[in-house]
Amino acid sequence: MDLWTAAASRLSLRSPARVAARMSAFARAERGSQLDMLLAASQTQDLTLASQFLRHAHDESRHARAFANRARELGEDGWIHADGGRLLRQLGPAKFLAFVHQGEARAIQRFLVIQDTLTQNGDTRSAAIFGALLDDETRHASYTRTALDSVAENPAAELRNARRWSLWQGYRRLTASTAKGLHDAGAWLLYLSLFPLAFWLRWVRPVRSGWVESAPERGPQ
Amino acid sequence: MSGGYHDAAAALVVDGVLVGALQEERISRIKHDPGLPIGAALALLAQEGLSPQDVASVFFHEDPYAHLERVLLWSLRSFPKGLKAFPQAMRKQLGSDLWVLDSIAEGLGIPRGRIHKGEHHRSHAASAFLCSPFEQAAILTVDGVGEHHSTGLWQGQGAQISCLGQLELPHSLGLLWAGVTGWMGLAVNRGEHEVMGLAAHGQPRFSDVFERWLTQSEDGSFEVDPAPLAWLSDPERGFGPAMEAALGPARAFNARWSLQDPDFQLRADVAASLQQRTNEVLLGLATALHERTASPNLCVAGGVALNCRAIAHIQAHGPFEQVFVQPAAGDAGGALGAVLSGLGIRAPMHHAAWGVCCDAGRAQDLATELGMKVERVEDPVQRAAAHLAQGQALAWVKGRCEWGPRGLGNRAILASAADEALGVRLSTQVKPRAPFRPFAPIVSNTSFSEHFEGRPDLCTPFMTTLRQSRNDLSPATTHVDGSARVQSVGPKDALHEVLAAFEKESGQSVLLNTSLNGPGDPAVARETDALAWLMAHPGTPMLIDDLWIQT
Ligand SMILES: [Fe+2]
Ligand SMILES: [Fe+2]
Ligand SMILES: [Fe+2]
Repeated sequence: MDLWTAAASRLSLRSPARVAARMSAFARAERGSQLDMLLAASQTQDLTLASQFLRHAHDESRHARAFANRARELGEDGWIHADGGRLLRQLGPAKFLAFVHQGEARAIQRFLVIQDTLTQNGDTRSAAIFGALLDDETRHASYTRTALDSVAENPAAELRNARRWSLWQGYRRLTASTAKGLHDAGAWLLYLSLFPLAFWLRWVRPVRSGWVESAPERGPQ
Repeated sequence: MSGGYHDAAAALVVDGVLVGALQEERISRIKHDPGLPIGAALALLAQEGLSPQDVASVFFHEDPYAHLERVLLWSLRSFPKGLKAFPQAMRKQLGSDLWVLDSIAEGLGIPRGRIHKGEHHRSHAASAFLCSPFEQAAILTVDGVGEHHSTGLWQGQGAQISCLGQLELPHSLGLLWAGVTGWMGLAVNRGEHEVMGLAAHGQPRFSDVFERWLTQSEDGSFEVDPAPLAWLSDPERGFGPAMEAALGPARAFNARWSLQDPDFQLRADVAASLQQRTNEVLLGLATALHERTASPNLCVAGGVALNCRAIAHIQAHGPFEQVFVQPAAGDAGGALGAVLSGLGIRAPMHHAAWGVCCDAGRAQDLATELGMKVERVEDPVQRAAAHLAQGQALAWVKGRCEWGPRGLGNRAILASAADEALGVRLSTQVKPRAPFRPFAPIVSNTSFSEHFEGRPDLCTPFMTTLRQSRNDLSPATTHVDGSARVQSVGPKDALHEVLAAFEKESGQSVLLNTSLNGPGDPAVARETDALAWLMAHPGTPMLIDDLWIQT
């Protein structure tokens, strides 16, 4: 982990509110990863691998809960809403394993830095949560690597592929958030410029109360 | 198919016969999954040995273009209040909702020409009537909003449904419920059933407020005052400052409930007031509908139809002889209605087991691999009954998973309903829930009247109504006001034999039955979900067909 990451970590954890927000973000990430592993288990024929995925999903669900509980203690609402589950279908088994392996290895590095920062800041309770998860993450990184070696013809190439894919995802997230910003600014301008229409509409399409004319009979189109 | 908002679902008809219906959440494992039901559709097709290429037509439950029109119309009508939510609404509309028919074609890999749009409330109406046992009936649809409408009066005859009238936004019972749900600190579109449960603890001392906010005319039509609501400017909370001014400050979002909270009674009283007004207005709608149709039969659908308290009120005080509400009365049900009305067929529904199977063989292999204790038992019914009679809880998995939000005996956590301490343990450790929400009882048709008022009817097999308990033998499944969301089972139902054996063992004929899921998770559908549940709940054994598994 480089100095930049360590500095960024310090910056992002400098107040309890920020720690809480970070905890919520981790809870979502862990929950998303739980969904990926659970669906991977249901889509994997190999029993050993499927059961490893199930164990992994179980760990991630505990992690999500631990983060959410701590976030709640620190004043967040503790609501976890996450998306996930499509990863195995999207990537195929080898690239999926490579991607998960890299994510877990990165998580270990990140958790160590955060644990360190939190301890220095005196937030030992939060630090302990990260400490408690490290064993699990190490196990996740290790079994996915072993499984990758047995599934992939060229594990190194899969790892390179997965790295490229996650960079591409990062780029897409960045462009999506830029596009969202541009869209929203445009939408606001559009909305404000439509105000004459708003008054016109009140006149041509007034709010109707009571039973309105029955819908014309029509089948599906 | 239905989807794009909440509770995406798919229903499959093969050669004119309904063969499956499934919510996307059971496959994606995202509760109330708002996406498109591609996973559910693929799972149902695979179960029938079919591929998407075999699909002749897909009927979507609503009209995405009319939906967009409504969003634009109301954004402008509410000018300038809609400014905050407009970009997000446009992102959703232009980014996904408008292309939903194309996305379905792409997701299934079939030509766009096979995808047809429907009408939201017509789909609701069809989901209720075409699954009912009635040849003709009056149909009431009530929800938050479809394309433009929130409420509809319909008449069904054979496989035909005709509209008698609809109410437009902003007059929406569902959106009023959404606002109060948000004010209660619960998630809008998810927590409404908790508000309904809370109502049992309250007195309707805010009835004047709700009479002001929700007024009804002689012809059954009603008006909702938009002032306390904020479904346009703040759709995630759904309420505005006027609601707080009238009812008091909102609860913090997702805060834990405690019966000892100083403001608990206030919340319960608000819930009771809203429930009472809802009962009155729905009864008014039912009465008006009866006057126009003169039918002895009523079908109800739409999100508000999941309010089993109001359904029970219509049953008890309304003019209809029979009332039918199918288990997925909310937006998931739109999928079923869309396909049945699209094809013009009827599919009377006698059970809720329309989902996917749990493969006991694979569950056995996986459980063994996970180091769980696995045993094939000779008499699973007897084993289950004996275990339950010892005062233990059991996770029960049998056949296909249920259609709709309720556990109806195929994916269930079972326990003795008489054991209050066990009920408390379940509600704190196994299935955490707000302390005011009891579990539901399940009882055989033959013992029904001994424990609950009235007799089993068309709603009780689907838990879409509520009954008063006749005794205090089932504390774990009875609300403080004596009501219970009872499920009745007949001889063909999976749990019928278990109930009989349990009665022989223990002398009790009521079981506690709650859906098999962890907190925030959808109910278990397949074997991997079942084992994931077991891993999270060590100590409670699971029976999958004849497979007894323990961690
Ligand atoms: Fe984790
Ligand atoms: Fe992990
Ligand atoms: Fe609806």
